[in-house]
Parts: sequence; structure tokens; C-alpha cells
Amino acid sequence: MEEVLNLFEAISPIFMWVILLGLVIFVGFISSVLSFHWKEYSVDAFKSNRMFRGYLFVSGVLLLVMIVALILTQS
Amino acid sequence: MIRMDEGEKVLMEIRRHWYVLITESAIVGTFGIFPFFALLSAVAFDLPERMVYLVLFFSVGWLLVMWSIFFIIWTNYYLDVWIVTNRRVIDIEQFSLFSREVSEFRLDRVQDITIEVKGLLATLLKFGDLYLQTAGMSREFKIAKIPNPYEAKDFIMDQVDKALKEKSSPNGVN
Repeated sequence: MEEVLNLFEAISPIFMWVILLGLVIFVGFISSVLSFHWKEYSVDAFKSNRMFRGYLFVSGVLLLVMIVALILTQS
Repeated sequence: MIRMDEGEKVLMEIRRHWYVLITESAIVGTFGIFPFFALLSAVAFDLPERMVYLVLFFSVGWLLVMWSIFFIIWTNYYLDVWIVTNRRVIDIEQFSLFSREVSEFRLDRVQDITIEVKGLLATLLKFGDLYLQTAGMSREFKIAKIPNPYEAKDFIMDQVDKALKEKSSPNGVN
């Protein structure tokens, strides 16, 4: 247990910001791919917009929680 | 966006049964539970506040990846569809992102429809495969594991009858 704690302790803040940046890029990429699919191939534009916005909303909330957790870690 | 002809209306969209979505996303769901265990453990072991926030950071990051994978699975599930209009059936097979096949056939070309319900689970949950044979085509169209296949078959047959009547009537448009 202590080894795990030491490992966590050793993680530098810059590394965590890099992880966050990587995830933002990942979500951005997935969003653009999914947006293309929903726009090109769905039948009902209203429904597909709603679903895609749902994905963006949840992803946004999770990213926000990550940012808050990261700031609190460094405070 | 799938283009409809003038006067063409979407009457029904047939997607695979929710059971398919559940089985395809079961692994993601299982992995999605891990962050909650990690967070509970962090609190239960009374870790320092900074550690708890670190665990929260990584847990939410993990959850974000799982959520994105689930949404890709959902997109593949949702866009794999049979669209029945008052003129034709459009069969869209979404294999994965950037891999799809679109076929369509006019309702008046439909010759026979076969339903296959195999197994206890399929019978209990009311899903099955629907095969559709059209005139002049060696290929058989299939949509696997659709909910209420008997109702779907009856609905398509009704539309086929209507299309044939319209075709044979003197003022028929088709």
C-alpha cells in the first residue's frame, strides 16, 4: 500500500497536465469523428443532435471534474 | 444525412435488440465500475486529501475513456438500421466507424420474408433474425437480432402489399 502511495506521490503536476491535455485531444478527436457520422448517416437530424450533445455534455463535465481535481491536488 | 425522395416518408426504423447493445458494451461497463471502487477504497483507507484528489483525477480520466468507447459502440448500434419508407427499404450495415454498407430495394420487389428465432433467450426477450428476398437479386438481405420480428415482418408485408396495389392501379406512381 505504501509503495502505491509513494508512486502517487512521485507523480509530477506537469505529467498530470500532459495526461489532461492528451484526454482533451482524445475527446476532441472522438467528437469530430462521431459528429461526422451522426451528421452524414443519421435519419433524424434533431435526434442525432440531441444524442451528440449528450456525449459532449457528459465528456465536458468529466473533464471539468478532472481539472478541479488537478487544481485541488496542487493547492 | 440519408436523402428521401419527394413524397417519401419514413414509416419505421428497425434496429437490433437492446440485448445486442448490452452484450457489446458489457466489457466497457465492467471496466467503468473500477473507478468507483478506486474512489471508495481511497476514502475507506483514509488516504491524505491530496491522494484522494489524485485518485479522483485518474478515476474520472478512466471513466471518460470508457464513456467515449461506449458512445462509439452506441453510435455503431444506432446507425446500423433498416429504414422502411413508403417506397423502399434502406439497409444500412454499420460494421464499425468508417466501415459501412448501404443497400436498398423497392418494396414492390420484395418476394418473401423469413423470420428466425433461435434459442431460449431470443424467445424470452422476443428478438430474432429477419431475412428478406427480393425479385431478381441473388442476395438475401438480413437484419440480425431485431426486437419483435413477427411485428416487423407483418408491417413490411403490409407496406409491400400497398406498394404492389399502387403499382398495379392505373394511377400508380411506382
